[in-house]
Amino acid sequence: MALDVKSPPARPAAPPRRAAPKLSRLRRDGLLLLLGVPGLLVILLFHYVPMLGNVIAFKDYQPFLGIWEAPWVGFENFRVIFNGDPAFLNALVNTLVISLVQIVFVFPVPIALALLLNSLAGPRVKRLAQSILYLPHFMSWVVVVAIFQHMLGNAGLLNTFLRGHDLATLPLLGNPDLFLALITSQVIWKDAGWGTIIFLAALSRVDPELYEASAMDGASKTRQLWHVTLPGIRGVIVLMLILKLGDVLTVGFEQIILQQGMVGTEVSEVLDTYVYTYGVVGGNWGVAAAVGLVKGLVGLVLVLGANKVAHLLGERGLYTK
Amino acid sequence: MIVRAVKGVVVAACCALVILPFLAVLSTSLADQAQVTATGGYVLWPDRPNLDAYRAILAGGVVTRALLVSIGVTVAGTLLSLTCVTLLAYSLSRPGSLLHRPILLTVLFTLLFAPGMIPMYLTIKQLGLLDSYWSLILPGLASGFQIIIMRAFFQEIPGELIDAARIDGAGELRILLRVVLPLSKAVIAVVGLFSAVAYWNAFFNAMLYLNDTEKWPLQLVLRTYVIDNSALGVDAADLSGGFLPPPQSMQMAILVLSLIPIAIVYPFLQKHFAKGILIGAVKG
Amino acid sequence: MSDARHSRRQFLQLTGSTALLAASGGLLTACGPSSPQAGPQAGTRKAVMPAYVPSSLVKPDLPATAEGVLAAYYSYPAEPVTAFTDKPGEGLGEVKVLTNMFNPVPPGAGANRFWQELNTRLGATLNITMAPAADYVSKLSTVIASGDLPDILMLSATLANRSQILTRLCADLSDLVSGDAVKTYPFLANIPRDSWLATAYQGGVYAIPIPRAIVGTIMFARSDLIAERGLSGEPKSYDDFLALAKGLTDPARNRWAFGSAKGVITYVGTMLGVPNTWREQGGTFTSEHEVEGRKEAIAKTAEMVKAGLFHPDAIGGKLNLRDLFGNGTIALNADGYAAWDILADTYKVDVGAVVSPGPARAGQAYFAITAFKKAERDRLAKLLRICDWLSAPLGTSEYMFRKFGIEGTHYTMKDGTPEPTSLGKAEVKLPLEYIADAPHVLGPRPRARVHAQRAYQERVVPTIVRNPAAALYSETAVNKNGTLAKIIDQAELDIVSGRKPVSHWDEVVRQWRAQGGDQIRRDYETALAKGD
Repeated sequence: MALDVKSPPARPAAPPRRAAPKLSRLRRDGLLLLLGVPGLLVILLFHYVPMLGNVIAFKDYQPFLGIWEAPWVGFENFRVIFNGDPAFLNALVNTLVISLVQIVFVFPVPIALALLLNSLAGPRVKRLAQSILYLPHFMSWVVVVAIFQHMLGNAGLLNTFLRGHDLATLPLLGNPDLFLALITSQVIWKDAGWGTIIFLAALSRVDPELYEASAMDGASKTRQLWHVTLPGIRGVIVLMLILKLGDVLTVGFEQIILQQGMVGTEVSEVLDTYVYTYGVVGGNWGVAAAVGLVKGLVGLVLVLGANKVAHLLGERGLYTK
Repeated sequence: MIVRAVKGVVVAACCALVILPFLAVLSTSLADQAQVTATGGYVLWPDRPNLDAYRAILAGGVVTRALLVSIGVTVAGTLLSLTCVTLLAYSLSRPGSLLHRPILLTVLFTLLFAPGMIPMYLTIKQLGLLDSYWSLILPGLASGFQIIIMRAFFQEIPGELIDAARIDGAGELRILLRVVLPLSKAVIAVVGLFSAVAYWNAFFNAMLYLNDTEKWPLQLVLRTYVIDNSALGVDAADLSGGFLPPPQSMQMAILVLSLIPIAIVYPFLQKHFAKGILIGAVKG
Repeated sequence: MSDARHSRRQFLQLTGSTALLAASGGLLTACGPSSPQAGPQAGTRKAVMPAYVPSSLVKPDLPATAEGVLAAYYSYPAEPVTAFTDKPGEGLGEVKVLTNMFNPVPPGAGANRFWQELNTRLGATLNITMAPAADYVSKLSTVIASGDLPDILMLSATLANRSQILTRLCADLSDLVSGDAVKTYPFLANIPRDSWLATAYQGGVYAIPIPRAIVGTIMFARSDLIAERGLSGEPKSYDDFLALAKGLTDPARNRWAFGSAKGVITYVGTMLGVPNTWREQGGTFTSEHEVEGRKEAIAKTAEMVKAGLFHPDAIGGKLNLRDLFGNGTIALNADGYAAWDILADTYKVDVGAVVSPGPARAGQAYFAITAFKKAERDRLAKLLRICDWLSAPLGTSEYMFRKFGIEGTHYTMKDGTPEPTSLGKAEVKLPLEYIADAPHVLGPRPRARVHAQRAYQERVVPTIVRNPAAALYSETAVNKNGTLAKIIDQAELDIVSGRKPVSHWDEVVRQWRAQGGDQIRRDYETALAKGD
């Protein structure tokens, strides 16, 4: 990394960290800790306190009963996941496939777009382009799906045009084989521009001296990209990727449920839609909580695992050991 | 030269792909019912452009009032949240500091495990925050995602700078204000934007926590103009009751209206993360 | 169709419905306390349903029939009758209400003259908490969970565990509305029996209904397009219907017969003897999904899709069906009965209804039910009087105020029709009709349209097939409704789109039974056995 600060600022006389007695560490870091208190309080109060309510994952909870009065049911609420139902397995496979495809094809797009924007010559063009590209993020999925249908549907603008000119129509929507491609392109259309923001911020911090130095060494633009730019934002990319892994079991619920009827559940049922249909509708709060816990645990394992891998590869990752 | 041309074309194409549907949204919001009916949904260019949809939405003052509420909540929320996030992110940015790991894990957990709707409501109620604007502001003050992002950026600030400041006798707060923050304008702009957008778009918590419609923020008020907003709300429509959803042009006008404030604020924040920061200069 | 008649008879035996009263000639005579009628879910005691006493305060141009044909008006009565001489909520102080809304948010009470006048006329301060309909179940669940109920709350038809919520948390209204007691509230007594069926639980009446007509969904047609093509809009058989659909389709001109499969499957099903949700025979229930006609209806719809009679994005697409109907892209569309006026008013086109060769299918005769927080009898009685006031029918000054506001301020009469002022458009948007409402009426609209609507109802309602389970309660049916509906809907789309063969339906029905269908059947059979 260009700016390697992996080792904490060591003071010559400081004893090894682990061995430092609590009291002296408190004296050293007390103020630092104090700064974190407001944020921590908010997290405890508005996240951890209500999170206690997640015990309903093990209860037959109904709003009219109260959380504590609801009877314990053990792991009953988890059965919607652990029942070996082929429909569930289908949903799980679809979820993983969609997640994987999106990590491979969607995740890099904002990075590429950010690099492209960053390399544009005119700062005005750059800003204008950027402030157009982020707009779709603010459209709801209902509108996005409707617009896609209006443009690309079987009776949409494209196909009406083709039909009007006696050309073969393109059944892009309602085609199960193209569903994965469709939802992937929708996600890219909606969020790629918005996603550039964080990478642009990272790019803004790459030390210009490094460009100057490499230019003096006669490095080409491409070489600069590989040897200066990318290493400069690698830390952020790795961090975003790790966080993304934590969400691997969550793929666009609203986007997908809106379009399920067009292609059938075989290709479009994902974990969230399955659980929604077979567990949560009809007011099954316990199941919703149970599924949340399982997804959180899986996410935790993946995040910690990915972090370990990042460390092995010499990255900082999410947090240092 | 060729590279440049290709780049230009790619960027232009991307922008066109985005802007065309938006033109359709804008055109539809300006079109009259006859034309919307004729095209069956979206209009590419309004034949008889008019502002009727906007007038209908803005009549009665409800939307204007909600706009003020939203601006207030967004500004207050964003400032407070930036403070909380920055302080906590900074306090976690020194690896090896006391309790650094457990606190970081505490933050990380919030990304993976979310509290349920009902326990959250009960908490808000217990704290006496129902029907108070604080119920919209406080719960979102310390987003785990924002903390982790900001911490990562803080950690990339050269350690020598911080050490130098410390040798000069600066305390933690002073280091944060004088050294770290000036070097972090980009990430502050980004996190501020994330936070502002989150406050701006939030409607569900307001629907749950605010009984008094006069306190409703813009997005919740606008939601009442749009029936199909939720993928799952469709069967809730009282079809046999003769319920008449607002015309498509009004629904599109709402989308446009909700975008305007973001479009106004964005360029101001954008200049902070689209521009390079001369760390080298500071260093030297 | 003997089968349909049979289930209807069962229905009458079960509930002593209004249709029976009509058959016996007198309305009031049959409703006395001497003939207590058993309601659903009778445990140790039986719920006595409120008597049906049609209000004679206002004379419609065409009166409602006991079978469920709606009253009709050609115009607004010139001189509205004032039904209440006192303030119904006098002395109640603040009344908290929770309900859903479909309209944009109105200005708050402080800045809303309509709301202020409403409070004055009621003699109480109506504090209405409203939530968008799409979010209402969430709002309701949190309020219920907090244990802090408002005085009056609307419970959605799809709310899980309705029976337990009502009987544990809400007031038992039996003393106040059962049998003849309801006559104290003449406009609640004016609500037909079909609508009350969902208010009785475990031997008590726990709510009042927000009524809807028994005529549920109608297959609307663009009569002008049918005439233009010289087709017949009166199919005598499925083949006639198919010919009509084919005649209306012309893809080269972007014209198709249909825009959505669901309504067509149901409609074709009525021709094939498919029961309305359930069929009851000697205490045994059969689901509509289990009869052969249902599978055939899906197969026939699939053939129509294959023949190109559907809009190309009809299968699972998000189409604005009413707009497409309005611009002639689709010529036939199944929609709620009240859409008739919406379609005709919005698009200025010739709207007609295609009567199925089979018996029509009754709709759900209520939108939701309104329950009350437990309170002193006196307070409850006054809250019910407020609901009575909110249910005053067309022709009363209360109705005119409720729907249009203060004359001269919120509306002006123009050619006998109220015309909202801009203030009226902004302020008169309180969701009062989702607290309590009078039964719907036809009109006031142009005479020709009202006649067409009335003729349709008079033709269809006498043979309409009711759901024999409408009077019974099954917790499984309420709680599993979403799951089961998705299994069925998705499978129908799979088959009609050609993604799956028709034979797939058998597997789907098996799944439907395992996921709750069989349990619902058992619930209904038990409830029926107990009730008799």
